[in-house]
Amino acid sequence: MIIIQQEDFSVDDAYTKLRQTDTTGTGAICLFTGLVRDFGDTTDLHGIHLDHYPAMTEKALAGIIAEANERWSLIDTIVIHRVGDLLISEQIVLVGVSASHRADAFAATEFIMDYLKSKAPFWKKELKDGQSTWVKAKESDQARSARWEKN
Amino acid sequence: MNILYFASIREAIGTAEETISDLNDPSSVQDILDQLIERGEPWRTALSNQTLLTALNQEIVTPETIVSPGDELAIMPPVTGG
Repeated sequence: MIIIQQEDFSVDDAYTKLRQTDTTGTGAICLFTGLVRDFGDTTDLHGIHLDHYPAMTEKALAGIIAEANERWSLIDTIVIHRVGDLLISEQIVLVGVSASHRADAFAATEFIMDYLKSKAPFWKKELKDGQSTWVKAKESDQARSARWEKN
Repeated sequence: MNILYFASIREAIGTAEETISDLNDPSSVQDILDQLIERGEPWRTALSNQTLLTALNQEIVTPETIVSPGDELAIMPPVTGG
């Protein structure tokens, strides 16, 4: 399941949905959430603005989830990403993966998050004192994503 | 073809979208970028001073990819979501 929305989301609802997909075969659920913090390229931020490419976003995330399913044995996945203006400490993103075994759930969650950060068409702007500045892409994010590339 | 600009590139160019009809046949994504840069400012600075991502019909492509008149070409800065 892929959801792109402005509103906040419920971790409980995502967890409940993952538990219900396969009530007897599920042995592990891994949930990751990303939050807005008060520093990034600069400090004392008021919040962030998230822009995206609506026609491509869901397609890109579906491709990442399909690749995760090829690499690991998964039961279900949920990706929720918010867009628009978000304040400090608000939730930005949720990745949830259910599997029979924890190793698959852990690895796939990290993989989806790393690929989302380097391949899904979202852009962050930092908001501070009435000014806004686009966040620069980080080499460390590209490096984390590259670790998963197949040789 | 339809060209979409996103985030910092959209702001630098001052528009989110434009249509170009004078395509050479064949043209690659790089040919389109060169054609836009040749217009001068603001395209020159926006498109030549940074790493770009390009997507053709919502799929990430390399600059060598050949485009068709009905395609949607998105020109984007590196992504920073999550």
